[in-house]
Amino acid sequence: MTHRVYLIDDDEAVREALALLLGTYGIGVETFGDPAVFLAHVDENKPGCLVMDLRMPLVSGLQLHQKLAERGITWPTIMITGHGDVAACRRAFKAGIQDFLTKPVDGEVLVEALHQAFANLDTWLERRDARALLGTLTEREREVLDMVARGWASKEIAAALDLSARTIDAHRANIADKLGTSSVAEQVRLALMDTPSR
Amino acid sequence: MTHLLSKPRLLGAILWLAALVVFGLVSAYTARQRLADELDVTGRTLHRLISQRVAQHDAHLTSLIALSSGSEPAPPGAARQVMESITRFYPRIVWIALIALDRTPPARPVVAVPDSGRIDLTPLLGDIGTQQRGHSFIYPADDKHYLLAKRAPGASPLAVVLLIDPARLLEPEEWPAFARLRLSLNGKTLVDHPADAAFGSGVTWLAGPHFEKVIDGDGQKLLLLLDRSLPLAALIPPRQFLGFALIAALVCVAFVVALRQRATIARSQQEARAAEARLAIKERETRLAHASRVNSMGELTSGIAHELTQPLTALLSRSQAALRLAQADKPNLALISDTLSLNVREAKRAGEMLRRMRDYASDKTPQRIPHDLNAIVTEAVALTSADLERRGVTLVLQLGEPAPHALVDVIETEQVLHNLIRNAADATGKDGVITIATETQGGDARIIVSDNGPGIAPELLPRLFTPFVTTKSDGMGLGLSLCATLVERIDGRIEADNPATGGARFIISLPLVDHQSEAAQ
Repeated sequence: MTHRVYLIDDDEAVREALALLLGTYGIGVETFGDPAVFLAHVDENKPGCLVMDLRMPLVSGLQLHQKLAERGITWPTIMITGHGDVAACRRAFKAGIQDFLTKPVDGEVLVEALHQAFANLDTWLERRDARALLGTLTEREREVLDMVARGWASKEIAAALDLSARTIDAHRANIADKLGTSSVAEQVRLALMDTPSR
Repeated sequence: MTHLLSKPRLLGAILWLAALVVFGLVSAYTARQRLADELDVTGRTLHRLISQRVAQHDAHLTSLIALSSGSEPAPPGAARQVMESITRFYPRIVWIALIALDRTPPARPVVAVPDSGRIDLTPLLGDIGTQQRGHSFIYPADDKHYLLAKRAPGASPLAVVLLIDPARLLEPEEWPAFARLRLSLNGKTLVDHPADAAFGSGVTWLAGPHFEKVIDGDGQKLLLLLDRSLPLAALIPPRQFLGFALIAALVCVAFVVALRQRATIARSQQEARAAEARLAIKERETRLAHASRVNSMGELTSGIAHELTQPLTALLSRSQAALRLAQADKPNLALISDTLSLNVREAKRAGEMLRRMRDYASDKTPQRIPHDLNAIVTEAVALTSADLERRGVTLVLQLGEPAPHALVDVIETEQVLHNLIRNAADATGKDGVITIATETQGGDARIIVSDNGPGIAPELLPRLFTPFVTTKSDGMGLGLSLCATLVERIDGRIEADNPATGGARFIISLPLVDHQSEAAQ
């Protein structure tokens, strides 16, 4: 599936052209000429993939990326630049940039990179959702879930936590309720998603 | 070479003079030697002659004594006869007297020829009487003559006295014409015969040759003295000297010419070397300029990459979009058309970028023609007005009348204006006002671009036209430097300041041309 794309480039012609091109692929693009405007405008609740120019007046692509990260916006980012020297490329990847493309960028390459980014965004969203769900659990419930994820049976958990098996079962019922799934496999998957990535 | 006493000339003259001095000295020395030798030969000849003649006197004395004394003395008449014949044959014997020493003074000759007694012998008699017999004795007589006396041998009281004129010891043809001849007796000069006037007076700085020899003819100790003067002409023969001087002068001139030629060659070699050095420096400068241009080209390339890839990115993306649109089931022709026309604009923009780069990189000669500056301003404004309008910048023109004309490259001047207007628009941003004025001031035609922006940072003012100085994070800092380059190579200048009324002001001053005369052409 495609996601929203935020394109930040100081050159109007580039913005228009890329938006038009991506439009023909059915990818919706929101364009911004000024990183500051984008920073003011960006909504954490409207996640999307970011395509930005590395070299822009006042705020560079990497600086923008840094500022977004400070706000928890770590959406997949594709950096495009007029002259991709190795140092800039290395810095970009170190900062967690997903892809680094040089201008003039080929449409297919960009779209391919974007699809990869979309997939990554999907993962990112899932993880975010998982984290949100897990956040609703109490500490005890989280403890129990972690033990379930390790493959322990209720009795083992009860023994480890010095609780009765019935209490553990009650916790597990609450967990299933809160996570919206009674499938142990699904619960385990969610729990694993919370482990810090990378 | 304009200096009369140039070094080679002075050297030549000194050499010439030195050669003349050496020649003179050598000539004088050899001449003197030759003349001295000549004098010596003459002196010896004369000495021999005089010695022979003096010896005859002794013979006369002996024969007369023999005649008058002895066992059978000849009668005085006979003696007289002999004496007369002697005086006749030998004119130098002025007077002959036979005297008797035993007579009491006043002494009178027994026989005297000629009779008239020339000399008073009284003071001498005592001395003669004490002299050894058989030997001649000489006495000075008066200033010109001397006496030669001889006593008879045995007990005879007789003595014979000859009065001799030494000036007649030599025949007239025997006198050396070239030398002064003196004969002296006991330091008293009896004969002093000067050299012929033709041999002139000698130089004073060189002692003349001298010959001196005693004539010892049996007591007649006469001293023969010969002196020769050294006339300059004899020492340094004028013709030879002049000839030598001429040849030496020629040699010296040749020498000077050779020296000069050598100096000229040395100088030209030096000049050639200097020229070579200059050429090398110039080459190095050229290389340096080229290197710095290459460097700035490198900078330019990386800097311009961003700018140039923008239109390329847009072009590629739009082309691909248009392609995809055209390949759709129902092609949106209007959108494709829009996209393509945008592409055309974009391509032009890229071309413009390249042209600017090329203009900066190449030192192409400006095509200068007298042109109306108002027209240039109008044209430049026309190129930017759309962009300014979009950016909300107002343009005000204050074109001077009559329109100032200057010798300019039209396109380059438009480029300069274009840059200045763009800079001004960047500075003012939205709601900015840019004023472009043309005017004539003094011999200058001026274009003034001013804006109501924040003005130029004071620290930036001094190096505003230096390449790669910029406040724009994405600027190359080449725009104003290019402006300065373009203006300066059409003999103009560009200045910037922040006028009291605010904003920034750029003044382009170009040499004014009379457009009347232009129109006449």
